[in-house]
Amino acid sequence: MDGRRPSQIRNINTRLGLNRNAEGSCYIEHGNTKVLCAVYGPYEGKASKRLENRCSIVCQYSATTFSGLERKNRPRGDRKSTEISRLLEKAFESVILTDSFPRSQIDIFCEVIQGDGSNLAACINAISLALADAGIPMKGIASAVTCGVIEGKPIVDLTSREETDLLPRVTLATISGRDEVVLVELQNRLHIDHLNTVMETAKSTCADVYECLAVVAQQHIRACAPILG
Amino acid sequence: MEVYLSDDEKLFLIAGIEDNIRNDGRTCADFRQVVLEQGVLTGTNGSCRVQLGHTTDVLAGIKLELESFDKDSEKNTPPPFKFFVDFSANASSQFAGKGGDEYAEELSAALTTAYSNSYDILGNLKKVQLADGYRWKIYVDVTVLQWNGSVIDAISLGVIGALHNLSIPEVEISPDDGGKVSIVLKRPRTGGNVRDEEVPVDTWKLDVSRCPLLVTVSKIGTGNVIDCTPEEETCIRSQLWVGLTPISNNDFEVTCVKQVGSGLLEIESVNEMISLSSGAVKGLHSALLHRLKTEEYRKPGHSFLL
Amino acid sequence: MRTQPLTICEKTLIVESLRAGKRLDFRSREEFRNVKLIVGSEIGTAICSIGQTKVICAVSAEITEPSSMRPQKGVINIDVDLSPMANYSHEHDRMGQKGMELTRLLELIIRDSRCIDVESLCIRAGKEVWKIKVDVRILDEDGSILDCACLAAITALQHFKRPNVTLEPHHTLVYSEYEKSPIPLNIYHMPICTTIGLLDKGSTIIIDPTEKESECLDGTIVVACNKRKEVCALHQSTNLILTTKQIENCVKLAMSRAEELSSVVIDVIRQDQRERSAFKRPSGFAITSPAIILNENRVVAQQIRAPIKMEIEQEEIEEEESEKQRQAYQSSVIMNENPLRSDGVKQEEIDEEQMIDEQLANIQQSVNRVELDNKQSLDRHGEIQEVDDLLAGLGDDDEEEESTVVTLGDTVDEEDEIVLVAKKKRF
Repeated sequence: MDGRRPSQIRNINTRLGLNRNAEGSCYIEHGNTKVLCAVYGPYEGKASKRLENRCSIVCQYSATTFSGLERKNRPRGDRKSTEISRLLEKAFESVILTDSFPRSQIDIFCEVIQGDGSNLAACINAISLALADAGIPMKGIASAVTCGVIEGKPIVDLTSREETDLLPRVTLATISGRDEVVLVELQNRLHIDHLNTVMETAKSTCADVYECLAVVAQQHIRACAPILG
Repeated sequence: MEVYLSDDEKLFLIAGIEDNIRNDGRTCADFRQVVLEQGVLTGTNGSCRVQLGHTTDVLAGIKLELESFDKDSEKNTPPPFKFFVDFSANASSQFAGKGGDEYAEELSAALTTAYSNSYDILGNLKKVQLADGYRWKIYVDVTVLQWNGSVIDAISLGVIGALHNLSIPEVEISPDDGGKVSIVLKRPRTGGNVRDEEVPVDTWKLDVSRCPLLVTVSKIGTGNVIDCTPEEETCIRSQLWVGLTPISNNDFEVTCVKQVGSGLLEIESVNEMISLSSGAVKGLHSALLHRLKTEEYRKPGHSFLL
Repeated sequence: MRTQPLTICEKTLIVESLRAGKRLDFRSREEFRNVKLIVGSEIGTAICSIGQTKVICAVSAEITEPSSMRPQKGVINIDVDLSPMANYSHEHDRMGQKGMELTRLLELIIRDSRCIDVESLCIRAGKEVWKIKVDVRILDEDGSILDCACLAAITALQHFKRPNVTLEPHHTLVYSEYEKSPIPLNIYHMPICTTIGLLDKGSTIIIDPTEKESECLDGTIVVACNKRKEVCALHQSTNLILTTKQIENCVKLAMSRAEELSSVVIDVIRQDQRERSAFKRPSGFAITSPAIILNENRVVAQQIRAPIKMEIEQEEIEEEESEKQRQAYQSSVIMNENPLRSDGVKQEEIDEEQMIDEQLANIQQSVNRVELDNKQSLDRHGEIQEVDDLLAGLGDDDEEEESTVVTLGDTVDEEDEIVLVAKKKRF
């Protein structure tokens, strides 16, 4: 639609560590989708959420009222944002080595400043980098991509214009580009015959996205090395 | 972000302020460094991002919506603005969930009061009334991305920046059947094979030279301070939001005063604080107007935090 | 209140046996529990039970104003009640995380997969549309609630008929069902949901886990499919790591299950329609309501037929299977036969027949004996009930059986009355 090939992702721009208050933060751009993410913790959280054997993870997804094509009334708290928050929580519970911080809590906050498709995928990528910035031990950097099917052919990294159709789309997140799926979410109906191709494409694109994220994380750590000593 | 200071640290700060010296080398009437960028979001009709002292970070976006209203029931047409402030949980984990809602409500109420007579201060605002019963509704949404004191100052700057950046499409109005009107976006006539949708719509801009600025003035010890840092905010006695609207050059009118938080103030010190703020705002306002005029427009697709 | 966690012994037992391919309820790992699907006498109601999990769903419609964003589309509202009735860990009137997830997934499956034609629910664009309310109540919880809830909701929606309307210039006329026949909903496809449990990083697949089993599992994956081989929803519901291959396997499994179940749903609905068109009083949920045994003017305590139920239903279904060949069966109970077990049916049939005869003789004796002593132990009650239930199920089933039943005379009549009473109580 915007001059990309079907299997081409949009440009990814990132910047790590821009929020001084937070332990880790990340700003990521997938083309026009812009996401800001902050990670607080691990800290001694609320007693009600405390778990004895591992740390609890609290995610909050919100999108600015001006992020979409039409104005939203509330930035968060509606069903969809809560659902995305839950999804993120679940995905990152399996990414973060939660056993290393018993009785503590990690807060992850995602803010979609501008949404132009693949918001969930962009959030996952942003969170992975923010967690890396915060130095929280993980099984690997999670990378995600949204993949759709048009006339039996898979296309990746959908824009909001492409998402509005009746297009079936799968959001897939893997760890370190390997065949380890931590999140899969499907919207609209997808014929079983296409499932295989979509999964394969999404998986390989996740690996590509991972390459980008890994480079960014490494660069950032290298830049921080003199400060950390 | 919670700031905890010991009593000695507080005493140090207070004593410094009473001598007109602050920790970061400013005097009491100085603002921190302000960074203002316009047109940062392509998905909005107008947007602006303001950074105050590198850490307080505010993003304002404006969306326009065509609204129909009952002309007879609204004798004094209310301003077309709708302000909404949201604290992103990114700014501080205390704003997670509904944590920031109360404060945000207060802020949007203050903005609404400051802009209550906006037909007077924005010279060409009448133009948003398109026809009988139709007007542009201007949704001004502000998101606080990072929070480090003096949010309202940054927000008011952000709103002005966004309003200046706002481009309202020109429309053609033609009467329709049954007393209705049809409203069509006006596009410049171009020949050739260019499709209508590809031609940019004609737009006009608001005159923001007389928009109100809101300033936080705090009473610390016996001194009055503008633009507090969070450290300083821990030792304030009382805080005022002062809304100032420029009338002419170097002349300001107070349009809104609101006490924030607890604490007592004498009438004299209120006057003192207001005069301090109006003095400080003069410099800020002229700097703002200069910035708005000279700021070069960014390339589209430029990522705004890089 | 919090639920008691499983003891470590229990957990290891379950996990070990699952690894060895055995389960506490004698199923194999790839075996589903029996599904029982009943439509109510009221239009748009259905009960579905999978093993011990039991869900009731009621669909209703009302006229509302549509949202300004979608003026031409009807509204579908899904409400889930996880009451303390099902599991005492649920609090009344409050949705926990489980409830939220359940609601959201049901919405995803039923509303977002666009299985219902919402445009047809429009009466007047921007003014009046039908709002379809799907109320799901979880009656009993023992794993795979989502599957059960989804099946119940889909059946209820299939069963539901909205009142007919005509448009007048200034008002809308809503007809009662006697004036104009109500219109069924326009349903494009039936998404059927399957929960698949995973153990050992997804290497072991456990189908249709019970409550206890799901507590021991690493996680579950939820797949909703329809008959047209389309995946409608895919949800990884706990934190586990999978490979794409495993996901695809799960989807294939769910697909075959969906095909089976959707044919069951269609059968149930068709049968109900047939009955209704023959002006037969729909038996509704009466079949499920525990019969009160009235003997010699003495009410014997009500008993919920919990543990024995499985076997009885098994018998019932096998009975029905055999009858299917002879005539269109009339009970609206349809069991989803396990493909693995189906080969055993014919052999058992004969035994079954004999067994029933024996039981009939038994009950005749026991009924004719003047009254039931208190000494008569629980299993006695159970047995009587068993047979009574059988009778209730078979009563209008078969002529042969009927003749045997007739010999029982009074008891049966009484029983019918009781069933009626029970039914009235329900509605």
